[in-house]
Amino acid sequence: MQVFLRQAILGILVILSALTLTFVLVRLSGDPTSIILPQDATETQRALLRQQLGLDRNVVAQYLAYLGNAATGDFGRSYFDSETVTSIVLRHLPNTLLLAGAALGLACLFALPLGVMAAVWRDGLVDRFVQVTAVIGASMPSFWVGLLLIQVFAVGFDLFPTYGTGSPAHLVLPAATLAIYAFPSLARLTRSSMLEVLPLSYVMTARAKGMPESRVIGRTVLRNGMVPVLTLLALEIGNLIGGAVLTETVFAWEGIGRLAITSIQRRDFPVVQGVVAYVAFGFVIVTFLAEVAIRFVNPRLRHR
Amino acid sequence: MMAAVMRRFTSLSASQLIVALAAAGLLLLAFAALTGDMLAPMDPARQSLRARLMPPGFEGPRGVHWLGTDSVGRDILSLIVAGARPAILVSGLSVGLAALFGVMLGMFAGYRGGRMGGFLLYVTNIQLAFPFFLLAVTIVGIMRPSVALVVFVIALGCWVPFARISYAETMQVVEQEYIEAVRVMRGTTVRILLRHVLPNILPNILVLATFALGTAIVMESGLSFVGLGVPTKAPTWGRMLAEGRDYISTAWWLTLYPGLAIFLLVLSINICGERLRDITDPKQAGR
Repeated sequence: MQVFLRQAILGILVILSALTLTFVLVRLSGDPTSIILPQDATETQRALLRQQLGLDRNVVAQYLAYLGNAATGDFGRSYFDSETVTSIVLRHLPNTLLLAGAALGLACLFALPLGVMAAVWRDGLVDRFVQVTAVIGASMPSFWVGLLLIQVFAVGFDLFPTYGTGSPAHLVLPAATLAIYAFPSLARLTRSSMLEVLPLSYVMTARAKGMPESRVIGRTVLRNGMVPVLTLLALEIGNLIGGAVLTETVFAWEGIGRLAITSIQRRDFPVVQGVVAYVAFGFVIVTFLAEVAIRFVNPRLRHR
Repeated sequence: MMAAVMRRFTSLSASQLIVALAAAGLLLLAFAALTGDMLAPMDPARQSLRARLMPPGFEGPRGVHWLGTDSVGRDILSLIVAGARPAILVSGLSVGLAALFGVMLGMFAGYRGGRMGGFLLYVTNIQLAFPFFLLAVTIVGIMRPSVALVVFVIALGCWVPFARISYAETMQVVEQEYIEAVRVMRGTTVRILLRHVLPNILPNILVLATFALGTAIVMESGLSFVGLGVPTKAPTWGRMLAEGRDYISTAWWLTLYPGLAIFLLVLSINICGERLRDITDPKQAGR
């Protein structure tokens, strides 16, 4: 119970830091009326707009009002169209979740079995493969991988669309890009956590009582070795959202990563603040759920 | 037995060869970064409207463009050589800054222990609980890119492992009897940390710094790709790739070569890092 309380406090601090940071940055960046209004706007028009935006009050009052609104999910409206920030973010969110989910699934599909095989047949062919691809994969910028995939599979063989959102065919290349990005750390961690469990005495016991090797690996080793992998998966989701910023930009995928970049380029700050806040919130929830899931899988951790 | 020895020998020399190649490549790029455009076969800034988007091997009036030309007729090979400087400079500065602050904070917290240490770990936890790249584009994007800001933000993305490792290791070193002895002789905190703790944790910090350098280069290229990298006259590798995306269906060389430069540089760094780790910590070898 205490763990959950601590996790909840950490989560609140994370969200609070994200909100505070974007607030300070936007305040430091200058007068937003110069972004919203045309250059030849009069000083009275600017003053009126400042009043409407609440910029004429003192900074502390602004900050508190901002936090209060954020708590109710109100981040104001976009500078450029009248849609509310929340509805813009929520419109883009499903695409990012779809992309991250597909990528995570794809990465697990390859990384988990290969990681297990690498550990069971240590120094074997699969192990070498995992080691080499891990070093190579960690050295490739994810957006370049995306560009190469477009080059080969969209331009060269014309199998998939180059970019855009919509059909399932649009999903393949970006999801593959993100999966390649997530693969190295996932495969390596699966391998090393398996290697930690393999020499333990309960594995030897299982073998000694005549349990077939496939069952030893499948039940005893796998169940115990998966706990750190689960923890990483939660962190990996955060990584994927970070990586999605670039991947979505490469593929013009209408998710919140691309939304962040385009709003930054347009200097549409309310939307930027909204994206950062919602990502922080979502990530906190995911970490919390992972914490619960780990305790569910491994009862030994429940009372700690 | 003989066969085992032989196999060992051949596999060792193969991996040594790779490490040597990686180190040689790194030296070459470091040289390119130091000398700037001098190594470049042509003037990287020189545009030529008649030699726009020419494929690799195209022979123009200025000579052979081995890697082709970009949309304003600049020589890709020369641009890549010129791009080594911002890539290495920015990431080197960022990692230096991150290591300096991370190690200082980590050592101090590890020496004091207790609340200080807990607080440091808590701060790192808060940072790790947010996708860093989104944070980076937000900060640089809102404040507008400059060299100092990009260096600062990349350093912000790299300091956590430095702080954590030096914190954990300092805690162990401080327990040792010789530290106790220095304390008895009234050695100051600064003296203990710099003369007795730092040399002990330095090998691990070096390994960490090597890997961080690779991460920093990838991060910088990513920022450049979305138009938030260091503002330089000649395009950085990331910016070249962003241009490559616009011409992806017609000019493949614009996306292949700048990316290859980033990949080979970071790969060389990572290979050297792996080797360095095996040397400093033989127990971890092959992990």
